[in-house]
Amino acid sequence: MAAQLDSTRDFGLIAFKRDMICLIRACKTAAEERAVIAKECALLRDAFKEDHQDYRHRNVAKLMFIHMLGFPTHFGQMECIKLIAAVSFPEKRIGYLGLMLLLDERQEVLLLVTNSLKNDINNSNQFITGLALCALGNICTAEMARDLASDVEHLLQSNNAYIRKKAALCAVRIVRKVPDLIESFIDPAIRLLGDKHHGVLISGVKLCIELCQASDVALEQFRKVSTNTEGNKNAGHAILYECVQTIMAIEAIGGLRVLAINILGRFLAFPDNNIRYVALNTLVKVVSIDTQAVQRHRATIVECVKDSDISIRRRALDLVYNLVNENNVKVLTKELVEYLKVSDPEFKLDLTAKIAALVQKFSPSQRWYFDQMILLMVQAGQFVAEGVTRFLVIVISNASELQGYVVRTLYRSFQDWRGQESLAQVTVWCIGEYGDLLVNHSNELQGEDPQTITESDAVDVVETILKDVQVTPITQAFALTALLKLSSRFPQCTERIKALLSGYKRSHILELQQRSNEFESIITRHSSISASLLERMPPLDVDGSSSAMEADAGVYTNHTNLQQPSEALSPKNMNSSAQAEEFTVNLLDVLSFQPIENPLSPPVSAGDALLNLLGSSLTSPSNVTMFPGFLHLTKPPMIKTWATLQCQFNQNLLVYFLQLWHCKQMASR
Amino acid sequence: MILAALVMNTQGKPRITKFYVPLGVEKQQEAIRTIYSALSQRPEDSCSFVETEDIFGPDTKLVYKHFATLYFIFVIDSSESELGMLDLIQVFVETLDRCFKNVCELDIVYNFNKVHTILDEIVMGGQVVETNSAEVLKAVQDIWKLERVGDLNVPSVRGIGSYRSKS
Repeated sequence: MAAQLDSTRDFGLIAFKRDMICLIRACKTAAEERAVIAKECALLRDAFKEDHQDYRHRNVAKLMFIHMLGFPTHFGQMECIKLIAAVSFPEKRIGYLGLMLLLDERQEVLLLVTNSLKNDINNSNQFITGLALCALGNICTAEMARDLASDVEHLLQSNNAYIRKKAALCAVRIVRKVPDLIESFIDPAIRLLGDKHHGVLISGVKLCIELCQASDVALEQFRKVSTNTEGNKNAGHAILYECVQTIMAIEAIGGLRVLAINILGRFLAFPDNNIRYVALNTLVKVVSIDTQAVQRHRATIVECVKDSDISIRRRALDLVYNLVNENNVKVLTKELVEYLKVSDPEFKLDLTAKIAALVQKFSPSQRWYFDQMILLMVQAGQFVAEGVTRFLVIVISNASELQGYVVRTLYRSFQDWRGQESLAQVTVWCIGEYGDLLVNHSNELQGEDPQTITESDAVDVVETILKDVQVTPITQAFALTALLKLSSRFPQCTERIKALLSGYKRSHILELQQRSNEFESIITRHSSISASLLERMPPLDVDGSSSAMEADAGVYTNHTNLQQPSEALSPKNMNSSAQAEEFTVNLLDVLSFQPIENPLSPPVSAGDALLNLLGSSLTSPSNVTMFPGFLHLTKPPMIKTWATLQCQFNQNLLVYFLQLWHCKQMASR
Repeated sequence: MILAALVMNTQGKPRITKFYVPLGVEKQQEAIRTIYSALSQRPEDSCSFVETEDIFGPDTKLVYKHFATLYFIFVIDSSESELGMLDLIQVFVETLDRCFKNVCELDIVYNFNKVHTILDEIVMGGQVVETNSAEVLKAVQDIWKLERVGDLNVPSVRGIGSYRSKS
């Protein structure tokens, strides 16, 4: 066999398409493949010129393979046409296939085919007719359509279902190409709708849709028809789903829309995952139109957030996020945070981001906000985004009455620290700033656990964070600064702090080395000014740039009587820059925050339950626009996840019926 | 309507390409390459729908399914239902499976004209014509029977001698 193969190649073409494919596949490089194909094409061209009939269809088959690989094959077009005119079935078959693959409707060569097509359409063999109709349906041009329309129309009434369905789709194309011919197709099309064979129905309905879209006369006819056929809807899920889609599309008001949402709610309770996906997805679209109706299904949706299927969870989370308002935020957040404990890691990231965004947007009180954020950081600290912690710190700095509460809660939560980065950062910053509040129980709120915390306890916490192997250098830098601040707040611990700081004087990380050296020199040589240097920071502003300046300005205005130290890097600058650095680098990024009306909010009393985060009114819709940057911190809109509905074939058909009805509705508006 | 039906393998080689809108050869190959680069980056569990405005125009998307080493891809516009398309891919693959008995990629490579026949029974002119796998199978088997019968009329290749002697 192999020897025969070689010898055929020496003398001419490979006889069998299979062998050619083998040969092409055996090529190792693209260049080799190109060479083989070029040679094949040359041989094929010769064969076509010799006009040898017997192997023409095999050669054209080979040509189609070559075409699929992307090589030019126009020299084979005439061969296709000759094959179509042949008598035997396999030749016709390859001819038509070649016609559809190698040519498109823009080629003039197509006109030559019209005659063969006419003959074949009227052939007694259903498959030959089918071939012709298929070819016509795929690439007919306007002229061919005009010539052959009457034949196709005739076939629409054929006894054979196989032919009817193909003729129907052919008619679709004809009608598209030559809209004038619509009238002649209307009556046969209507008759198709009553057919029993589902294939015919599918194509028949498609034809009707096409006709409706193109002509108003047709529409009138179909209006009568479709009101009658609506009655035989069955309750398949695909049908209901299409109903819902239609209702949403035509923007029905009142009863119909409630019906649609109830259907979706029922879908949500189905055990089948696919249906729930679809329902959740549609509900996301609905919720922007009609939030109230969707609220009724809130419990089911929250259940879906805990589903085992990750795509359902994601969709449900999106939906919950859109459903939250001031009334239900506490309940929903509680549910979500509960779920955070048991969710798996890749979902935790999304969930954390969403919870943080929700909490920021809708907190009824500052205390609740702090509680939730601390809880969030304890549960999923490693997933909390940097912007979120930054914002939290800003708010803490503005809420002077609650600072003591916050720092004490953080201290308590820290006892179960498991390496969460954000928790460490916020804790260490708060202890540094408000360490004295921690120790002297100031501003204790009702219901707080009185716990005696000594200064050394506080320094212990900072030390733990500093020395832990898991923390990043950024957090360590925070810790060093905190130690410096504590050295002024807790004078007894100065020695200990100094010792801790000196540990980093030779650190490999430049930032830590620099900080520890300079901080130590402040403590030892400039203790006279360190008190004023390390006073409490003023409340930070949401606005990035002005906050950095304010931090600087705050430091400067407090220390106008400072003498300029003689060191190369003045501790004043360094301190303010260190403080500001913690925030400037972060705050001056591309997410610009809009300035708020009153940058330094007046002190808020802890007992007022209707406090907003930064003193502006709760009910104003501008709340949402104040923090556009944070909304960017949540993940970009999730890619829609869909699943297959296992439609039975008759449901597919009824889906088309509904599309028809939808069409009708659109036209009647 | 369906704009294109494609089967390509996980290395980007096209196995079946059928375009229902007129595109030149270069455009077709470019489309295939773009689709491949879009699909090869998608992780396993992502959804089966990809927007493809740059290749086929506005409002079009890919619906694809990954089976073993092949991607089955339908390019559709907004008039088709995505879920219906996924079902259609399922019908197509099931029919292939019944025709070729545990179909694998090589079956599709060597019998691409047969696969085209099956595809033509399911999708015609960019519209869905049949969704029942059994019906498609029956029609396709009848067609192949006709082809085999027809083929007996062509003199079989015995060797170089017979070929040369005819010319």
